[in-house]
Amino acid sequence: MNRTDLNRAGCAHESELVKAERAGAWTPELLAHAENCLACAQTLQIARALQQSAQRSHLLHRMPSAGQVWFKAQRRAREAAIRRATRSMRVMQFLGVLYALALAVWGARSLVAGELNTLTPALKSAGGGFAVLSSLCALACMALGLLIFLGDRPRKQGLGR
Amino acid sequence: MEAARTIDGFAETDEKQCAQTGEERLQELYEATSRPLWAYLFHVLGRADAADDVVQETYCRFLERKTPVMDRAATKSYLFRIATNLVRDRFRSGTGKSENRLAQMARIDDSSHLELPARESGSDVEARLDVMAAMGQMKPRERELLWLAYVEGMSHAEIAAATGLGTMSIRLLLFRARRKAAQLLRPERTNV
Repeated sequence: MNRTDLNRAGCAHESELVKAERAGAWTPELLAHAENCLACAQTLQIARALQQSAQRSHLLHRMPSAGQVWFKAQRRAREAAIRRATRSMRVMQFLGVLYALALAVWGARSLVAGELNTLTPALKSAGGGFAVLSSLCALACMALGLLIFLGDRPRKQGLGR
Repeated sequence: MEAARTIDGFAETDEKQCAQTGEERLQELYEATSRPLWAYLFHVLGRADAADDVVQETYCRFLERKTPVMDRAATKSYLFRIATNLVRDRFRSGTGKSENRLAQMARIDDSSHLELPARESGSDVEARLDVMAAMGQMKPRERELLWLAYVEGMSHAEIAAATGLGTMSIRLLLFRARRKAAQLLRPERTNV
């Protein structure tokens, strides 16, 4: 291929060229080819410029240490565990409040209906029905809480997301 | 010893590795892979502090994942993939755009504005300015492709895995990026 042969396909020797430049292991044939192929000449020009820039930035920048990264990862893992645990607790708290509110509404309704006087005996006499209702509510809350808790495990996410 | 997982996401393959703590293994991996990763991020994002952030975030994500047993090359490729996704998220959210100084570098010749270390010689600064200016006029994806192909020496399939692009489109995109970069880089300063 000569310098006029630059087309969309580029040149088959480009990857060889980059490897040779990275390793500093040039063969005379490859060097001769690079001088005559426009695609390879461009590849070489860019590869050299970028690799030199990479080397300079390697030498001059102070990276964050591995210890810092480890510490950050550990802290994040702890925070995530706490978040998961407290989320389940918050859901249970919310359900508890909901249950109390339902109870309050039921009590208020009894008051409005003028059954205040009969409320205490009613609680005693209709205790069976109320207890069954309460138990069902409590069970539903527990099942819901357990479902949310079990579903709150770390989910698989896309890379970097 | 059969491969077993540890809580930090590293797989144990032999007794030597079992004896190492997660932190020691991270240190080993970090020393082998963090500098090329940082250089890649610096040239794509255009800021050293942003590159530092993304490098740290990349390793944190890597530790969070339950990664299967991988050799060094595959691990490095996986890290570049995470980093590339993070860079893309940054540009998508607008953070990358506002913090990208590459575009700024492309428009100015005064090196006093730039985030370049003081120990570089004049010619080094000029050469690096040229590279950064050229990169600044390119799209983030073009910068990624050029870096992965010409600095990391990745194959089209590896680049496709790291960037999420199709293997077939890599060839054309890389060809366009190379042609653009060759026009932007001044040959007399790149020693070709």
